Amino acid sequence: MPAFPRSRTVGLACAVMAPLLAVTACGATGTSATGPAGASQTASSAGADSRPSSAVVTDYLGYVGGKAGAADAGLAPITLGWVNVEGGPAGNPEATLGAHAAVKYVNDKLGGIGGHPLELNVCTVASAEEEGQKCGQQLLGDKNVSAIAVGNLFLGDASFNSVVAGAKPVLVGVATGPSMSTAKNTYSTFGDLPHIFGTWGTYARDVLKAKSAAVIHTNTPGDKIASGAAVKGLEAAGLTVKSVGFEAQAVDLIGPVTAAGAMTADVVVPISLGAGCVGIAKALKQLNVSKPVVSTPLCLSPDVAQGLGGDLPGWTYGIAQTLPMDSSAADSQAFLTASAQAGLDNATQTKVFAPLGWSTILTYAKVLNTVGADKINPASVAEELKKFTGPVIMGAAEVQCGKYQDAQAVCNDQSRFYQYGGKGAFKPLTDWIRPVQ
Amino acid sequence: MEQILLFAVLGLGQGALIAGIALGVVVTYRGSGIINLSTGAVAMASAYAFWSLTTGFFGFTLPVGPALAGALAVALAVGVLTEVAVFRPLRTSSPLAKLAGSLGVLLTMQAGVLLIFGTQPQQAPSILPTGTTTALGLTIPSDRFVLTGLVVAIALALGAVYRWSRFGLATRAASENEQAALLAGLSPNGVSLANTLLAALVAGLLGVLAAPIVQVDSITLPLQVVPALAAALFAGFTSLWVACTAGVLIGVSQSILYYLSTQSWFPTDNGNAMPGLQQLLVFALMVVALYVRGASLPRRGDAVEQRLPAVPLPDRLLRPASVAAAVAVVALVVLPFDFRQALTNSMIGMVIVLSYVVITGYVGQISVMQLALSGTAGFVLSHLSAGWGVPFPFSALGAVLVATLLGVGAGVSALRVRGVSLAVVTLAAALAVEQALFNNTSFGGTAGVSVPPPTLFGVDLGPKADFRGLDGNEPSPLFGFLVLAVTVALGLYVAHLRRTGLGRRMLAVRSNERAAAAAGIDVRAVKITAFAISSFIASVAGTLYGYNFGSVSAARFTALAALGLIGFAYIGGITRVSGALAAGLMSTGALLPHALDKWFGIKGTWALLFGGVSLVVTLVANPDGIAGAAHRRRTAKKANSPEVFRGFTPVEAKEVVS
Repeated sequence: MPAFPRSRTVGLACAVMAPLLAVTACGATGTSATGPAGASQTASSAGADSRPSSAVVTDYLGYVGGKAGAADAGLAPITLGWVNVEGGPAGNPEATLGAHAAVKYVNDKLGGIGGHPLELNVCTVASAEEEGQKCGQQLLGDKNVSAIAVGNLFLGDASFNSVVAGAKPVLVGVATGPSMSTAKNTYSTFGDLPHIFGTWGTYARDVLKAKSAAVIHTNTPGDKIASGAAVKGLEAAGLTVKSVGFEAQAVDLIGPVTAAGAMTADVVVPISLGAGCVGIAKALKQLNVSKPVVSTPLCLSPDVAQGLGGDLPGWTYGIAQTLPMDSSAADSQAFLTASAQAGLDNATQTKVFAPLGWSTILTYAKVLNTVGADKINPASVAEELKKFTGPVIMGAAEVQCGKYQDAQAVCNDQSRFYQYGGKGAFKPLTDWIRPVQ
Repeated sequence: MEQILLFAVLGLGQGALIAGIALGVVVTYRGSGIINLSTGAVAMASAYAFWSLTTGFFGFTLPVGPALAGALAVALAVGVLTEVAVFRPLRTSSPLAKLAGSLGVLLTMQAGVLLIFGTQPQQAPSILPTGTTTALGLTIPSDRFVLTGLVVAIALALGAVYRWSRFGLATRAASENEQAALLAGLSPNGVSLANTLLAALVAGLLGVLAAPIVQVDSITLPLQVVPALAAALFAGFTSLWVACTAGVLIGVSQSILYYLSTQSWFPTDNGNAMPGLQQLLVFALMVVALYVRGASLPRRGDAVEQRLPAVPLPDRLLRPASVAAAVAVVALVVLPFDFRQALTNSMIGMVIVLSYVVITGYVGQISVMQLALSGTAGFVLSHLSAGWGVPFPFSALGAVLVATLLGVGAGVSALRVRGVSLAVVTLAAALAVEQALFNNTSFGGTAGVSVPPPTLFGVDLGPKADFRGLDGNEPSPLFGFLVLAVTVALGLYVAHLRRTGLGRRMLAVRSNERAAAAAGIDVRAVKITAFAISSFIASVAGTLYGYNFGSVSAARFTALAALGLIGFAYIGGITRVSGALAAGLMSTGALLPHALDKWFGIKGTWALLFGGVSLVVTLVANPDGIAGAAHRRRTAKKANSPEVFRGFTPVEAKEVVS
């Protein structure tokens, strides 16, 4: 039985990570940006990054606590497990490339782990749940692997977690797979949707002064989870919300936009990707809706720009990461420079999961150095991960793992909001903000 | 009321697309007697071609006119290839084989576009006007009216061609009595080719025109064939205008239903709109269509008698089963963990294919629902064991019982439906179950649900059991032994079933239901029993899936995966237990794909392409499948032995061998 490619799977993957990470094509060089609805409501001074300079990671050597120079190739390597979805109909191979670049950077520039070279035992999931199970078995069975890092495991996560079952610690940037947030001994430094989307409520209430919201989402598994989280976050902020889904294959969205009440709502929240973003943008234009649109960065993709005639929608975007294209962000610059030294090409650097893989491996380098090369085992690494409070490379200044009882793996619930002004220009609108308490 | 009117008009676009594909289905059926499941895939190929030619995918860009011509040329080329390579060689095959052949085309085309164009869904440019019209205070896209008018015009034109042209007369003659048409000097092959091309042209054109309403990917347009089949069922696979009208109305109904589902008074699934309503609507419409139009499709007077794959009487059971089990036991202990897991996956795959051996191989009914029954059992198992704390084996038995009852219920309600009609209805049912049941958080949910390991008298029998293979890693061979025991038991039972009176009655029903009834066989009882047995086996596979992964998720049990599974069952040999064994080795995560991945790096889409092409080749060149070919070789070898020919003349011996 062949495992069928599913565009819905892509949707799941992308939708789940959407509010968490910035997407590739933000540098699209188009000519006609859609009007930046809602931009005027934002205070220009609010966009300042209030993280202390010590929390903006630019000095990787100091961050990981290593020694300048190369690792000693004569010492026994320290192995991390690495799992990612790639090689099939959907996937993010750039995550693995980012992780490999980070490993190379650690070994070449940061002195390895206490002098020991770092290496990865890579296992990939192409298209089937069975492969997640195989990865769990492979990494659990490898006695040299004391800890596992995860790229974008949106498929096969249930069987992977069922096998690993907390026996080895798992560090994941974004908890994309539906079971990742609740998996045992798992730590997500950028968080997951249900907690990140709470900031939409904060932004709508405090910045936009909105009273009502229209949520329009794709009916994919990930987007349904996302929309539920968005509704919860907006309602917690006191907004009246109507949420309407549409089939993933639909691109003419006048119906859903109308049914969601976008014409009368104070703020519109699209939760979709690719053609769905184009459809929503076109429908809003056809219906002359000029209210603020606060989107996930998933709509910042080349196909969206292409579908809209060359440029991206001029919406507001909420992101749980420092935008790599934000030229004012020192941590983005540091990533671009260092990863280039490790051989990561520019095209890969700007893809979604490359900086995530980079960040995850360097976080592990920090944790492993703290533990000490001769004391590394699953228990000691897990203990150190539990204590990890940040800062996260290109992420929040402070995180708290285990804060949420219903999602023990979630360490972060903060994000920032950016305004797209057209022709690849982004402007930060807010500092890192938290969900409504 | 205004909103309902708005959504009714918005639904015209989807309705036109469904109607266009339904017209293609009807035209193909009239020409060749084939229910072409790949009609939507032709629309997909055409839409991809138009998109690629207008966006510079191949390094050059064409204006709309030439690009449209190019896209239609692609549709015609697909039509010619399909006719020459698949439909014509299968002209004398059974309707089920023809249906499976079109499934092979569908799988091949899906894999083809994925390999050529990638997985990223594309947005096709619009040829039709993109402006809006304001009426009754409603803003309505004007292309809806153009698209609907166009499809109606196509239906009228096709009707006129069939009514008044010599070609139409020839088609009607061939569709009513192929033998008589042949005697009258008409070429059934020529008629079939012309109609296939006509259908490809219609589907291709609608694919290009309606693509801006739905995104261009490898799933969306191909799956439009399901509602199109509902429209074609209303039309009895004959009437063009009924197919057109029904198609448009289905699209309109789906749109209105969508609007209603967004209202606050409508039941929700945990705050979201109820999933799968549109698929449920299509399934319900199919049931209504079968009730209104009668259960069977119009029969054709075929020129050549159709042969079904052979179901040989198994001569020895215990010895090969014992040897295979012994080999598997050793392998489960000795093999490294990844091959041990692949072997376990293979055995679970074998179990579910065994259900096809019973329902399709022995009784001749294609039920696409088998995998949905597996999923049902898996989810019920989770509810019983993780939710209610029911211990093993009672949780597994309860899950199997519930899913079997569902299967029997479906079988009883489909008693009047047989052959290809059953395949079509169960495809819609599988889609509805997948979308409405498995994606509903109250029953299944997209995040998956957990399944605790099977534990008996305190002994863990699951993949994490303490007893490990030689490499000391998970999965435990103990779970493999459990799966092996179930597989061997069910395999022996299914093989033995062929020997029993019930097995012979099943074959009689498969060959000719009327003749079987005339011979005193209770056809209804035999079919219900077959549904019960196959549902039971599929349900057992579902529980094994659950224990294997420790979880159950909807993505494992999709209708498209079920179609692929049927394909592999045919390739393996759908009438034999040994065929199930071969199919199991090819299933997802099984030994063959694992070895190809591990040793050659071949995975994903290439496996889909392999499945599609192999299915077509098997149906055309070796309808009995891998197991059938092996059986023939063994028989021929036995026949060639000197013992057999003692006392025969050379001529007699040659006749025996042939």
